[in-house]
Amino acid sequence: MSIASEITRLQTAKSNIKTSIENKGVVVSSSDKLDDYPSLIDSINISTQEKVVNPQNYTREITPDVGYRGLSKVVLDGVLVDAHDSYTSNTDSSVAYTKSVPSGALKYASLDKLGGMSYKCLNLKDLNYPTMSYYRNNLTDFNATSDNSTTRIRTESFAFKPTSNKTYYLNNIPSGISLIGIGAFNSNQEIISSAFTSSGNSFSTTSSNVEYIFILFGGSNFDSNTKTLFTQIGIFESNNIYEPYFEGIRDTAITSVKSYGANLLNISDVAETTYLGITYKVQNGVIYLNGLSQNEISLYFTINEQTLNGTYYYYVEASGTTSNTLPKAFRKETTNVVNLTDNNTISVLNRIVNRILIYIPNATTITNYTYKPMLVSGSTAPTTYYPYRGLIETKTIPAEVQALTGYGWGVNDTCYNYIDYEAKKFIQKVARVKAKDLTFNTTSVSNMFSASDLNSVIKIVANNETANLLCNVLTTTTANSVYGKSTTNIIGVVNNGGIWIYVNDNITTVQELYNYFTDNDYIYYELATPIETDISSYIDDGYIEVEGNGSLTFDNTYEQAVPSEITYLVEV
Amino acid sequence: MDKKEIELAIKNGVADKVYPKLVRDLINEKYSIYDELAIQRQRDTKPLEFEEYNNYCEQCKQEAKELLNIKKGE
Repeated sequence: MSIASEITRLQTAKSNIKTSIENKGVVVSSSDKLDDYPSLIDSINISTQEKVVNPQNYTREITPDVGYRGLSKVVLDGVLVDAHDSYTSNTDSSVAYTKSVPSGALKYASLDKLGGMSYKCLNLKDLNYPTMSYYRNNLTDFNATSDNSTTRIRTESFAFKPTSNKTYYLNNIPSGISLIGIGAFNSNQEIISSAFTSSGNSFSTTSSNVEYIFILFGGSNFDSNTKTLFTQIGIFESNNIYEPYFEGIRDTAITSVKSYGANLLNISDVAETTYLGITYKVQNGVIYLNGLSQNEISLYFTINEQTLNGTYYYYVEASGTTSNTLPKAFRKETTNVVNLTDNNTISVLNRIVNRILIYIPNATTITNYTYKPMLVSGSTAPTTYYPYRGLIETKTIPAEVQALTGYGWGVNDTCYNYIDYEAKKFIQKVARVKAKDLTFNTTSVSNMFSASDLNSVIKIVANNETANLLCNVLTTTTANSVYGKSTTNIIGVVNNGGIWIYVNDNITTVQELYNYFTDNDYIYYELATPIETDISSYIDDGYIEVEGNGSLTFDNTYEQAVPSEITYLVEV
Repeated sequence: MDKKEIELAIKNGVADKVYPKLVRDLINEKYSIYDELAIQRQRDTKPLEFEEYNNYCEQCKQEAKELLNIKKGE
């Protein structure tokens, strides 16, 4: 290396260093010597900044302020509470007699749809005494009535044609009494031996010839008074249900909608009283206690008498102190119904309550104890205390609307007539016809009948689809199943709108079919084109006042479930 | 928000509280969140696109106020 090349190298290095320093914001004059460069490098600004920013809902850059080289830390200040989601709508479309109002629901809910539902009786035969005669008898002769057995008792013989291989249930058999067997007779009233098999409360037969039966029960020491036990027994296709028998079909028409508050407990006010060292009072549902008990004390507070049946949540807000636990219970007068644990569920099976008991052990010190109990339906704990309100609002359906053809009719959860509050119309999707009013004809299939009266109005379905039909004496199925006589007592809609019916092989003529039906037998069917009726002059805006955790009841004569659509605005 | 929710909000006196949600829903009818982020990111390079988007958002705000019966200036 020569001296000249070394000088060149140093000059180049100095120039590069100068550039680097200038790139970092420090001015380097051409007269500055290399000896000055360290102080120039020291003057480079390397300070960084910490910044606190608020989160936003759009993209942006966070940059250091003037005088800073960069950011050492960025802090997001707090959480962006998105007010967009403070409320959400909640629509309940269930079929029910009573519905729970969601927790957090705002004051007004919207009645969107109020529908009807038609029910056929699930009870195939009420075995109620004295409507049904009972005999102490183990004979099987038809109409035998001699009274000679103390351990067996049977019903009178009655018409009952079971579907072969179908299981039936005798529900509500009294305790201590059991099903022994079923006697069977054919249409000629001749005994069919061993026609039925039974187990527990269920029975079935493989025979298709049974026309009459009697039921044999076992027990002990039956006497003439024992017959009174035989009430509310029925024959059903499902186990563990009961309803009294009724003819035909019941239409469930809503007469009013009632809104109830969340808190089921209405504790009567009590003026301030001192007893055995404890001063107590009740005011607006709140129990106040104070003092030192001089003996065991049972304090009974009157509540609104009601029947509890199901699961409830017993919610309590309390303040103050007690030196001993205070056991509590619901009672009917002085009879204990259910013990209470604060902020816990209780289960009660159909019991009446009219008092709440608070028991105070002897020598208990109570200091400014405030006790606010609340009872709500269901097992979910409320988030806050609600004072008792009871019935908040009743929205009565106008008589003019209730009088409309089809009001209260419905075939199933998706096919029913209803009030549309938004459109202010009554929508009729379901019509009905008396079975005897149809014109039946025989078909190429023996024992199968058809009717074409409804071809132009009924909603048509494919032959392998089940139409929306309801008949109290026939089970709805596909047209193909009726054609194939898959079982007895069936009805279906054909793909041209016709009705096909098959009852059983004993009904061979149109006249016999007409004789099979009574004046109470109807066929409810879905219309191809729903009928809309303007009811804007009769109904209001459809809002009803509710309370979160409260309930809505859809009043109807039979207290049965009905379809409805209710929308709430719920605080999130 | 559908018509039922809007009516319920008005009836329950919370129209002002659901106003932001309705505005957001109206904007989302035309612009997805990804569309909005892209437009914002290219705000300087595609100013016409941003102006169109911004005008649309302002329309949505006005429409929401009308739907919720919120008076001007509130």
